[in-house]
Amino acid sequence: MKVNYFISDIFYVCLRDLKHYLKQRVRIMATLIQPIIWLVLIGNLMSGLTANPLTLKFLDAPSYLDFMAPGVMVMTTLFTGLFAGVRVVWDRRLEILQKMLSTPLSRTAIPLGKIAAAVVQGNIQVIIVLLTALMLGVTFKTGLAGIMVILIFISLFCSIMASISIALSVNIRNMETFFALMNFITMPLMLTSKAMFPVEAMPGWLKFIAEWNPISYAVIPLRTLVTKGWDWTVIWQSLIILCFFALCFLAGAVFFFKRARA
Amino acid sequence: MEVLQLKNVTLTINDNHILHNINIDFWNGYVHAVSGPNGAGKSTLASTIMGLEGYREIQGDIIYQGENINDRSVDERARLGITMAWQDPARYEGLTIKDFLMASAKIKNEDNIRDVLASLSMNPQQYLKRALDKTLSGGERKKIELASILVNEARLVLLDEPDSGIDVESLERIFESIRLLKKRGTTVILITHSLAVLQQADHAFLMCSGEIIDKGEKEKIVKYFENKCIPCPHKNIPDEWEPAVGK
Repeated sequence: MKVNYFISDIFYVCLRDLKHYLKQRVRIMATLIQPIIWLVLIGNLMSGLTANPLTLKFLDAPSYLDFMAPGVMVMTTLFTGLFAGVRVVWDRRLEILQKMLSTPLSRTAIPLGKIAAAVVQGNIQVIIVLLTALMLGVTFKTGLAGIMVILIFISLFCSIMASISIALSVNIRNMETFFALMNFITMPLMLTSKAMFPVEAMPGWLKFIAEWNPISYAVIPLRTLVTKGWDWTVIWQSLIILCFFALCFLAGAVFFFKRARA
Repeated sequence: MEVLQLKNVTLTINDNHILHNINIDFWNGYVHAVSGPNGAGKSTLASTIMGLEGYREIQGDIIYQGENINDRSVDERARLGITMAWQDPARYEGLTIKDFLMASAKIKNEDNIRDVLASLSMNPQQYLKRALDKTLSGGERKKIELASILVNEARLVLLDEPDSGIDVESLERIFESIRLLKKRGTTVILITHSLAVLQQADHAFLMCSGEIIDKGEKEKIVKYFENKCIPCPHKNIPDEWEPAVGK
């Protein structure tokens, strides 16, 4: 009975955030158009620039577009996940959080529900990116089954980013600080990863950072599934690492949320 | 028997004593009213009891059922059985009324929620699927807030200005709900400056400038309303009274 209540608490928090998200049509359009711009403009432009045997060797993919599509999926998820905490800041400002906390609703369910909502949003956006990539001629070597596995990786990565966002948001009192902090995190994370550029083309110090960048752990299995096929060593290794980090960060988000002043 | 005791509670914000040396006993199963003029510190007192953010750094002790709850967070206090209805209910944009009440309920049962809505003269058929957003009037939101308190089944309920934004007909329903809470054995603390709400209490406290300046039967405190509040420190006590507590 208690478990049922806990799950239903997560469901109501998630449902509320998702309904709020679906009402924000401009935001949805903006978050969908941005990755499409990356694919259509930068993807096509770079595909032309990199269409030579030497660069393709660096990329280890049929084209830059094939190389980049998994990176854009992860980038989309990164933004969605890292902005999950905005709902915590917003709910606090509207005193909704205080009201939630003064009900029998589980305090653990609140961050978990918000992370679940971010994961659903991330998957919706990645499906749009996937369809766009398919229309632009990206071939998915592992087919529909591979796409399902991609969505599992996306869910794990999104839950990690949303957990970080929520853990950081619990003590932030205004939107401006939150957005400044998230913008400060997202760009360096993206540009020091293997998402957009091949690691072989990086200088030594950047290569070192890229190897340890959490984004790389999500990009590599996705790129393997899109451009190479079922390389189970890469897939299992990445899955175990992402599962481990997802559990750690989820626990961290719950811990910081419960420890917060309200 | 006391369910909640405040002992020498002082709340200081930016060097201002918002609450000063508050000593109150709230008895189990009674309807208490904390009354006084605007700015007396009534809502602050409710927020302090609930342990809301910004109201936790107090001097003195808050004892709930024999346990000092000074260090308990809002949700811990909620789990102990304390809850609060805000003067201005929060809008849960996104949820339907049914979802909101299910999330607020201690026992998640739709029939129970229907009964509570009906008791507040809100047709469950009409309201359960409605979105909890700006399409609801202030009075409707207030009643939904009260419904969330009723399904919560808390042991101690703080109702901050339960009559604000409520029409005369609905006010009677709110009063019925207060009587229902009392019948269930719930301790109710009404935060009010309304004579009509004060009349619902068994026992009342009078606050002014962050202090409890009198307490007693509601009839005694009602007299305060007959002597219009004069905005000076504690001059609004009728001459023939001796303050029971405070100064």
